[in-house]
Amino acid sequence: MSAAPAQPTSAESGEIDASLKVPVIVLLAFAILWLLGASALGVIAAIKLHTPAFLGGCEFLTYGRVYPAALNALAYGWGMNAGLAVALWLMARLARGTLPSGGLLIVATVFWNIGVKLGVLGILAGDSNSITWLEMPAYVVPFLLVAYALIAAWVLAVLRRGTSPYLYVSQWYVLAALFWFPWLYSAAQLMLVFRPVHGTVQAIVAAWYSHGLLGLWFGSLGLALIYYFIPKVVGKPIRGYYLSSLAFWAYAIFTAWTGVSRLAGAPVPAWTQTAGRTASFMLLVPLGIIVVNLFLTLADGLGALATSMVLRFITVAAVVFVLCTVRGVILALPSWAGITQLTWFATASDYVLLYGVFSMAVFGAVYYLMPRLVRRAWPFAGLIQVHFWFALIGLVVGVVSLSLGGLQQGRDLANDKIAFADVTAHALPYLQAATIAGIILTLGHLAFAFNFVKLVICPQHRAASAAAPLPAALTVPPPELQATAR
Amino acid sequence: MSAIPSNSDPRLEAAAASDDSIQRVHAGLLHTKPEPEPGGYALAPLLLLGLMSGLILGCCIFFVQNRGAFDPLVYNGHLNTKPGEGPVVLPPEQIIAKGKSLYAQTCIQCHMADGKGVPGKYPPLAGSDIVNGSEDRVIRILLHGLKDPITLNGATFTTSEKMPPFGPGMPGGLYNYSDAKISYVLSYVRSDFGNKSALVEESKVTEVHKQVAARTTSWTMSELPASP
Repeated sequence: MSAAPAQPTSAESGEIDASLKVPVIVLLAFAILWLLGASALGVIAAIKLHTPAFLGGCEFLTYGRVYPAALNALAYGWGMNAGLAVALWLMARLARGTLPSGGLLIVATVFWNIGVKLGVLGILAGDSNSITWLEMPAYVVPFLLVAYALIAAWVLAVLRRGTSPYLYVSQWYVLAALFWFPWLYSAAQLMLVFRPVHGTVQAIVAAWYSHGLLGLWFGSLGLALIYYFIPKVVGKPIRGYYLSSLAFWAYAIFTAWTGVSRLAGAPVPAWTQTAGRTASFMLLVPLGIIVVNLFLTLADGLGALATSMVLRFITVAAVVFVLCTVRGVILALPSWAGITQLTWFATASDYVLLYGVFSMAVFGAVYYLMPRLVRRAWPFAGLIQVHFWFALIGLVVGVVSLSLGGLQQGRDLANDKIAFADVTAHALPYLQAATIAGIILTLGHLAFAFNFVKLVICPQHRAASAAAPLPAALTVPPPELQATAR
Repeated sequence: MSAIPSNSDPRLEAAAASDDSIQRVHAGLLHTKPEPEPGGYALAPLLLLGLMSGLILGCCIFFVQNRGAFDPLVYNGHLNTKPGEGPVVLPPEQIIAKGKSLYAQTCIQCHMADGKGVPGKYPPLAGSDIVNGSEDRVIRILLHGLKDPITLNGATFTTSEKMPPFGPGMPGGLYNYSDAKISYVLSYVRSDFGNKSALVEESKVTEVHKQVAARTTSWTMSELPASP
C-alpha cells in the first residue's frame, strides 16, 4: 500500500469518523431493523407461552418456529450488525486509521443481511435444524461466513493502516472477538450440521458454541465498549490498568471452557462437566480485576452519571456483566444446577448477557458515535431518556420474572407430588410478566429507532442543524486525559 | 483536577478525554504498578494474589473430587475411585458396552462377530456350556488361556493356536487385562449371542485370580473344575 494517504494524527479530528460514516450507518440501520423484527417476533413468542391460541391458525408463527426466529434475528441480525459496526468504529478510532473505501464493506453488509433474512425466513418456513443458537438452515451458513469475513477484514484493515503506536485494552477484546466468532461458528457448524459428530459429543459442542457466542463474542465486545467509554466519559484513567491484561487472558481461557457446565446431569463424561464448572469458578479472577478496573474508575467520577446518558447505559452494562458472571458461578454449583437446569432461569441467563451487557453497551456507544458521524445532534433528548428507562425496566422485569419463574418451575419439577400441568400453571404469572417486559423493551426500541431515523434522514432536522453553527462538542477536541499518580 | 467538562446535552455527549490521550496514558500505566506509600504496603495486589491462590486451590480440589476417573463412560462425578473405597462401580449397560468394545479388539478374530466361532477350529461362544457355565471355570480360562484339544457341547476343536492368556503378566500373554477388563468382556459374552447368563463381578475375578496366582501355564480341559 505505497500510495496510502497519510493517516490522521488525531482520532478526534473528524477524518476517521467521516470515512466511517456510510458503512457504520448502514450496519447500524440493518441492526436496528433486526432489533425491531426480533422484538416483534419475541413478543409473539412470549404471548404464545401463556396464550397458545394467539395467532394459532398461522403455521409460520407456531411457537417452535417463532421463538428460534426471534433468537436468531436478535443474535445474528441485531447482535452481529451492531457488534461489527461498533467494532469497526472503535478499531478505526483507536488505531487511528481511516477506512479506505466503504463500497465493498457495504456490499458485504448487504450480503450478510440477505443471509440472515434467508435464515430467519427458513426457520419460519420450517427448515430449522433445531440446535439452539444455530437454528438457521445449513444453506445460509457459507453465505454468512463469507459475508462475515468480508466485513471483519475491514476492521483488520483499519488496524493495519492505523498509525497509533499503542494498543488499548478495548482493541484486545475487539481483535480477539473478531477471530473467536468465525472459529466458534465454523467449528460448531462443521461438527453439528455438516459432518455431525456422534452421540452426546454433539451436546458438548452445542453447549460450547452457545457459551462461546455469548461470552467470547457478545461479552468481549461489551467489555471493549465498557473499557473505552468509562475513561472517555469520566475523564479518569482506568484504575489498576496493569492488571487488565491478566483479566483479558483469564477471561479468554476460562470462558471457552465454561460451556459444558450447562450440561449438568446430562449423559456426558463427568470430567467435562467438572472442567466446565471449574472454569466458571475461575472466572472470578478476571471478574475481580474487571470490578477493580471499572468500578473504582467509575467511583472517581460518579458525577458524570447525572448528565451522561452514554455513561448510564455503559454503567448498566458493567453492573450486569458482574451480576451475570456471579450468576454463572452460582449456577455452576451442582446443587443449583439441579434446580435451574432446563427452566426459564437458564433461558434468562442467556438473555442477560446478550441484552444486559452487549446491547446496553452498544446503545450507549451509538448515542455517542452517531452525532460524530453525521455531525448533528440527536433530534430528541427525551427519547434517549425513554429508551434508557424502558430498556432498564424491561431488562429488570424480564430477568427477575424469568428467574423467579425458573426457580419455581425447577422446584416444582423436582417435586414428584406436583402434576406436570400444575408446574406449567404455576409458571404462568411469571411468563405474563415476561411478556410485559418484552413489550416495554419493544417500546424502548421504537424510541431508539425513531430517533435514529430522524437523525439520519429527516430533512427538517438536517436543515435546522446546518443553519446553526456546529456545537462545541463536535468541533472542540476533548481535553487530554491526565495520568494521575496512583 | 480540572472540572469534568460540561456534558449538559445528551443529544451530543461531550467526552471528557480524547482517544489519543487515553491510549497514551494507558500505555504508560500498563507497565506501572502503583507504588505503596513509604513505609506501607499495597493491599490490593496481595488481596488479588490471595483470591487467585485460594481459587486455584479450591478449583483443583473440586476438580479432583469430581473428575469421574476421567472415564468417558462415567457420567456422575461422584462415582470416583477414592482410596479404600474400591473400584469404580459401573451400571450394567456400561459394563456390557465396555466388554463389547474389548471383544471387538481381540476375541472377534477367532470367535467371530456373531460369536459362533469356526467349526472344528474355534469353539463358539453362542450357547456354549463353558461360557454360560461356572464363573470359576470361565474366569480361569480367560486368565491363563486353554490348550487344545477343546471339547464343547459334544464337538472337538483343534487349532495350531491355543486360546491365549489374558491375565496380567502371564508367560506368552500379550494382553495384560486387569481383573476389571476380564469381568467386562466375560459379562459381555455371557449376555450377547443369545446367551443370558449373569454378569461377572470384578470382585469374583479378583477372588479366582488369587486362587490361581501361582500358575504359569495354560489350562487343559481335564485340569479345569468340572462343569457347573
